[in-house]
Amino acid sequence: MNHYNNLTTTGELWLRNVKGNKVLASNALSAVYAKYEGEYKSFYTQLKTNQITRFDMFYDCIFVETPAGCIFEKIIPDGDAFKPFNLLDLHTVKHNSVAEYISFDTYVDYWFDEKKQKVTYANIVALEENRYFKEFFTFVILVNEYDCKTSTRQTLIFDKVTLCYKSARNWDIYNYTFETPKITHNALTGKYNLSFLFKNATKEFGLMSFNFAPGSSLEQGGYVVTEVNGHLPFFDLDITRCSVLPYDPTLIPPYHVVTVSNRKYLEDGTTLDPAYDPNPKRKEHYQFIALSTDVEGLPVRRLVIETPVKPTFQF
Amino acid sequence: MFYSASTDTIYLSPTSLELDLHHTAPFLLTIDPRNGLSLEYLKYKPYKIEYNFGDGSPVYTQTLSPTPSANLYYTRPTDNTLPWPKEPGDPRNFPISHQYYLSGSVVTNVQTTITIFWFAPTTAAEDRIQYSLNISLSAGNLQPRGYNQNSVFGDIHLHSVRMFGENDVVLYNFESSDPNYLLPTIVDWKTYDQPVRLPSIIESLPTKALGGYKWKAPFER
Repeated sequence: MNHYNNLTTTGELWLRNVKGNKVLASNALSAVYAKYEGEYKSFYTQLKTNQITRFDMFYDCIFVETPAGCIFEKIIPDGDAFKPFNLLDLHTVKHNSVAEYISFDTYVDYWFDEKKQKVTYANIVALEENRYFKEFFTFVILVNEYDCKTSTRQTLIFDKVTLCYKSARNWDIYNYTFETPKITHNALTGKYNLSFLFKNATKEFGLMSFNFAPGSSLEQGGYVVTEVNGHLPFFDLDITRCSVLPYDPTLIPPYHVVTVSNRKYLEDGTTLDPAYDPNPKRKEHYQFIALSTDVEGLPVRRLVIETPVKPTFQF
Repeated sequence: MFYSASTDTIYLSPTSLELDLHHTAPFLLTIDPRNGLSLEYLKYKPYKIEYNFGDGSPVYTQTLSPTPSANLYYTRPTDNTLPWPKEPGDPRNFPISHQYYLSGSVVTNVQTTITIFWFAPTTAAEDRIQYSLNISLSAGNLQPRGYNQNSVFGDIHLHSVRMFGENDVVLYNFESSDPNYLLPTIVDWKTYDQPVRLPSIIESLPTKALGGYKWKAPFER
């Protein structure tokens, strides 16, 4: 059996609730899904109609993926069903963050660090601009981290990679494929690796491999790409003109730092039961939540940056 | 059912006792003793052929198995035809096939020996002859067949990656389809040269397990 091509099987998704009864996931998680009813209708419809392509659990956190995107959610019992721990919208829409310039987007791959209780997940986005600039091929690597304790998301890497090539073999900007990236972590050094294949028009593959580690850039979530390796047989690369840079901030609305406490956010519309708080000292965690402006009618985007520095707001 | 990236058939004959073979793993070798081993060459009636494949698999022995209609000690025919078709139990009547895999490295050298024993009339007389096949196996090209007709696989995907040790060694776990294989691969990026195809730059894999994994070369059994 080929594992890559046989990852899915068709069926209904069921959950067992706190009473031990088996409940249809669409019913048990309806309160969780309802978070996405307004802004992400296609995603919500896919959740309700069981068009789920992947499902996973990390203790009391779930991962649900449909063709339109994915979510990580910490859930708490609510009668026979479950409700979200955090009302913050942490939906990862396909084509998120760079919506107007997308020509290709991959599914996410994730790595669960049991010690830190965090899930690091990544996807690759290719840009529409590739169709206008010859001899350059650009894509964006997006790496986020989901905290299973606080049910919040942090962006670790949001970088634009530019490959400059002198010549290319069987390269067609309308006919290439990115495969879902694979992420791994080296507990010994603290570094991550993100690798993926992308293929040209004749399915000849190239391999890209990124190492990234904690750095000093707070805007990038404190992580920086430390090493890029590649096997790109269909490109004759001009290495001196290849680059990995933070994604061009002029292409997205500017971020405004809004000082919202985690505690306040949790109390906004829901009652937090301390019995389900895995971290009794959670009030000592402080966060900046940066919200993008909506002045041009673009969808609101959020970037959550954890900081060890106590912000200037009241608890 | 085995998949073979390459196949070859060797006909044992008087002309060459030693032969060098270069193939891509997995390699299916067929040794055919049915032609060429006449009594003019062997001198006496063979009663056993030993096949030592040299890759750790058991030595296979094909022995003379007399049949009721055949003569164990036959007389050489006068019409100068090959004698053994008249005796189905003759060990020369049985071609043997064997599948070779890589063993811990992207290049594996195996020496296969075929020894034919015959009924010698005296203890002082020579009673055997040995063939030697020096087989050099290498890993195939990872690129799928759509691009390269010499490739082994229908398609290639990256199944998973793992990173180990102080030097952040990355293990790329490829999965092929048609045929289906898991292909753990380490690339020494420091010595990597763009025009060089991927399998040839894979480091020799460590012999001891690391991080709980037993690392295997592509097409290691």
